[in-house]
Amino acid sequence: MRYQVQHKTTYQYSEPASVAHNLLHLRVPTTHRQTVEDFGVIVEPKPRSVVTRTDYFGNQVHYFALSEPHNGMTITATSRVAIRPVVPIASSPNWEELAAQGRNRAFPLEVRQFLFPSRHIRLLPILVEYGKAAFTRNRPIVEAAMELTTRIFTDYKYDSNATTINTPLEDVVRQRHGVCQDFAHVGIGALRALGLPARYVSGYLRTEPPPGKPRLIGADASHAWFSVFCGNELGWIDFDPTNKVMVGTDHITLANGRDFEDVSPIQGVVMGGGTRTMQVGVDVMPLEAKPAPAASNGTGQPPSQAQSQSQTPNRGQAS
Amino acid sequence: MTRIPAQNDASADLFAPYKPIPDIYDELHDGSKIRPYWQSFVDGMRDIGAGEFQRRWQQMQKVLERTGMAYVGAGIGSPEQDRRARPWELDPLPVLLPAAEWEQITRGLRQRGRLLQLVLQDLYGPQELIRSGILPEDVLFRHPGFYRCFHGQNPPGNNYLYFYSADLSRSPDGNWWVQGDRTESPSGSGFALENRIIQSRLTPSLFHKENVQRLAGYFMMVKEAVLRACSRVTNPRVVILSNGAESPNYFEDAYLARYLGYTLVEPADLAVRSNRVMLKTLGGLLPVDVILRRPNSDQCDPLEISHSTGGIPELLQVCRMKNVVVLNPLGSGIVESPIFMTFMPQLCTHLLGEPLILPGVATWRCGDPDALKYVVEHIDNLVIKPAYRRRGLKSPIYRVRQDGDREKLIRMIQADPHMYIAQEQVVRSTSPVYSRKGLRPAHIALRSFAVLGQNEFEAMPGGLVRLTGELEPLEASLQVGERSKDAWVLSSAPIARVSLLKQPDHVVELKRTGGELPSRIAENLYWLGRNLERADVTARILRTTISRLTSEEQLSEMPEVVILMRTMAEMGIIETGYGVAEMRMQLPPIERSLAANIFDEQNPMSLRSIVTQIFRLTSRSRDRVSADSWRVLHRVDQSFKPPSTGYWDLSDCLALLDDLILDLAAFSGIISESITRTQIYHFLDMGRRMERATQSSKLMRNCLVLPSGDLTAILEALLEISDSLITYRSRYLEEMHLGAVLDLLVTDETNPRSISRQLAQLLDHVNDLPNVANHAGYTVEQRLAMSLLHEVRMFDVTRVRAPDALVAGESLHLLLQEIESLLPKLSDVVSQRYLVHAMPQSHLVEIRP
Repeated sequence: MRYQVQHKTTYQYSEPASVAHNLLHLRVPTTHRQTVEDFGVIVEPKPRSVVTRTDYFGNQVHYFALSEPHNGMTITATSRVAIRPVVPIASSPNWEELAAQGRNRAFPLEVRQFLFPSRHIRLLPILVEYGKAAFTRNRPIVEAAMELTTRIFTDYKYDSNATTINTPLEDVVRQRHGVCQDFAHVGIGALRALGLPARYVSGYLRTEPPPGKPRLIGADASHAWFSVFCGNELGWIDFDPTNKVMVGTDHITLANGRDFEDVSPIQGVVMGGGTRTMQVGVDVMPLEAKPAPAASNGTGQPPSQAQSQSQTPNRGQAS
Repeated sequence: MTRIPAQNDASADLFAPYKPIPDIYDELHDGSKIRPYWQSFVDGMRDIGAGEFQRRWQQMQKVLERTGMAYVGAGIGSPEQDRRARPWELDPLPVLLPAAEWEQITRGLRQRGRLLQLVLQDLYGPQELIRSGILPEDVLFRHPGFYRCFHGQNPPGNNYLYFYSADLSRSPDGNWWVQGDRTESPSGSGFALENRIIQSRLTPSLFHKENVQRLAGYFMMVKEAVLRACSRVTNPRVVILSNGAESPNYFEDAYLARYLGYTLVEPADLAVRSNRVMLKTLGGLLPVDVILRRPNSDQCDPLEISHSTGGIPELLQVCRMKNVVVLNPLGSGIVESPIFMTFMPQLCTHLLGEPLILPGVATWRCGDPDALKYVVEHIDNLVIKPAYRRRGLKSPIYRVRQDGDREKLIRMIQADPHMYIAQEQVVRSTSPVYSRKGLRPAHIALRSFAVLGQNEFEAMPGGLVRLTGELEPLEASLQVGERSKDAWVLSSAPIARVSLLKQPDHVVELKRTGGELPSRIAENLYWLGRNLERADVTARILRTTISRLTSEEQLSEMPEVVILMRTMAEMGIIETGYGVAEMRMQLPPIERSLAANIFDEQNPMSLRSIVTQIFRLTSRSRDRVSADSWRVLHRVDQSFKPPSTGYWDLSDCLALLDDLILDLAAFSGIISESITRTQIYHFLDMGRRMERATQSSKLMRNCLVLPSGDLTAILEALLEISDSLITYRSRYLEEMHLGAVLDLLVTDETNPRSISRQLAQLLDHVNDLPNVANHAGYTVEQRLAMSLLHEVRMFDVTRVRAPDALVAGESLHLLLQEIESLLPKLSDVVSQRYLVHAMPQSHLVEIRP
């Protein structure tokens, strides 16, 4: 499956800002499940230079600054990416064995670092309980992780007004609502609390227009899910609790980190500028017809679509 | 025949009655006799005599208090009333350390510094220590101070540690132990230096006789380390980045900046432009090469650490590009968390192949199940601390004090064992502390300092001895009210002099400019100038009023008193009600309430509030004002207080006001005379001229509004307030004439108090501002200043007639109106162009998926 992804963010200021410093996590990487064919980022007004580096987690980040007075800025990242079809997973190791391997340092350090709590994901005792419901004795990891994904989907209500980036995980867990970022955090927290390496993935999701409506450019949004390490053989496998699916050809990975703070698409510090407004438009455009749905969620069922979720009419699946 | 003692022996010999505490190591006394290496010092003290020593110490304390030389700010988070700076308390008896013992400590510090350097290089590099399991991975990955963005910075020489400190304590067996390593940004070396200067002045003969090793060499090594760290630049611009005037280390930072010759800056003074760190100065942006860092690593770059505020966005990226050197590099603080003390012995064997020379106190990591078992079993004899420490925050210390604590403490640890460590307690050694009643033993801790030299860490010979009532390690930064001592490292041979002054043949590039003045300093000085004048005029109005109120005449016979009250009410000096006749009746008589109004700290315009503001502004510019001016100001701040009896007597107030006016004049005089006529002076004096012209205009407008009856009294009061009565009398004798008074106070440019004189000087300053020279034609500020001066010069005093002088539309009224409308405009233009560089910075809206 090939896509052209455009991620456009527009800031508008009520007063001119004198300086803006920015750090972007917008570079779609080539990974075991996707190949980037083309990438470009355009900033308006044009900065003097854009510098790139690879961060601690292997993501490529961009730095730029605007040092002339400006009334706003637009950052547009465009990628062309090919996603490999999902290979069905016949069997996976039992999760307790994996947890023991993690304790015994059988995984590389780059994996083990995701065993620990992070700033936004405390390993709450209640998460161990929540995880244990899916992670029963001797259960294969992929099967258990899929059940965790399904449970989050069922137990949590999608509500884009219920939480903010500052809502602690405790509150999300207590009130059982939030957005994809919160659901990913819940899943990661439960997995780490059980001793399994889990990381946060930011990315994009292809969405289908409501029946009978044309595709709207920019109607999509950036998305997030979690990834769990399933042993040295299978590696990282991604699950999307917002949509109750294993991550497949509809998902495009953008960046990996411990939680959202490591991979925030745009971090910026502005001098002046008064009050500011922001608009984000993501457009995931398929470059070829979509193949018949593969058994990509490990359950043999096609991925459920946003339109079918009563609590998230129209476009809840991304975000 | 017996020898007759010169004085009473008991009082003459301080040391004879001194008794150490049993079973505790005492630095001076081994329980039966004075330790041999102290003997010569003790003899010397006996020669000085207790009485003489007491006299010297009292005198020295007065000097210290007046100069404010050793001052410490209160800690962040302390109650508001404790936020004001307080004297740093020194005990006048040093702690002596023999050369051989110090040599061993130095070797230990060198080794620990080298070891921590290697650990930092590994953790911010290949992380082999973790891969191989020498360090458990959770030590790093649970560390809240391990910011991933600091990894792989590769600072100069790959050194993450330039300044290292260790807090040392001596246990009863006489061995020194490290109680804590300090690697983030160790503070206290400036205080050690201040203590040394005071102590050596107090007992100069002893200091020389004992061959005390000098501290200056250490600071030379600091300067050399700075130069080595940015060897690419021949004449680097070095700044000390402080946390600002409200932070506990500010006075020390200012002191070090002056001593080392570096510029003291705050985060808002710096900005990144085109991949360089720039200093915002009056003359524009100047590139910075080295930053000696005081703020914690995670407060330095809000772009990379998006939950932080303040700091300098993009600083880390500039470090990575090697366009600036930050010392210590960002992230250096992680190894000062006590959890690392658990691993120091193994790390030393693994990385250096040798045992630790200077061991740390025994530490158990509760996250290790075996260690946790031991801790639970021995909890009564251990202290429990958070495993990870953040510099500047007082970390709690837990211990079992009574039976009920035990279970609670164990439960707390077991709930999150990774977050705690347990340590053995060291019963610290004692050393004699001086008081008028004699000597008594007090526990001490020694903060040592080391800097990365050419090949290895070099230790300061000495350090900061801190006196503590508690046995616990000294946790947060140096605390308010904490006492300290100088540490004398003795040498067997005479000491060679070292000076920070350059060699005589060194060619210095002569400079006359002050363009490098940070805009923030200029702003402080501008407001200092304004407040000085405001205090002066306020004090003078009050004095004139009180002298009337305390005179023999009846109030009803002095029409000017009502006018003065109205003026003061209008200016906000006293309650506004006094300006309105009907309301005045409801208020207590002015004679009774005036003193309370003067010292009303709730009213920002009260005289006391203005004095406090002057003190605050001067504190913020400590590195720019001379010790003499500071001394005067400190006296003002201390003495300008309401009478402690609580009884308000107007004549007491009059005396206080007289003193205040004199002191302010002295302060203004010293500050003007000690400042070169560069930008720093222009801004201070511009503030004064601006304020004096504004206040004079206001004063005149209020005093001359519909004056009732005879003008003589009010004109005389006006001249008195404006300090021009003598000049007037020398010209016109006793006769009060409105035109003549106005000439003297408004148009006469030879009178230093006249409005025209202030405006003429303002124009001179404006013409000297940095941007003016490059500007074609006249700048806005020049136009405003010229227009003001022109208005006053064109004003014809002979046409002004009483009693309708200030009727709206009359020439005087129009002139004063014009002055009071144009001056604020001029002030705004100047502030915006030169002073307000620091716009609030904020994070962009976060994007939520």
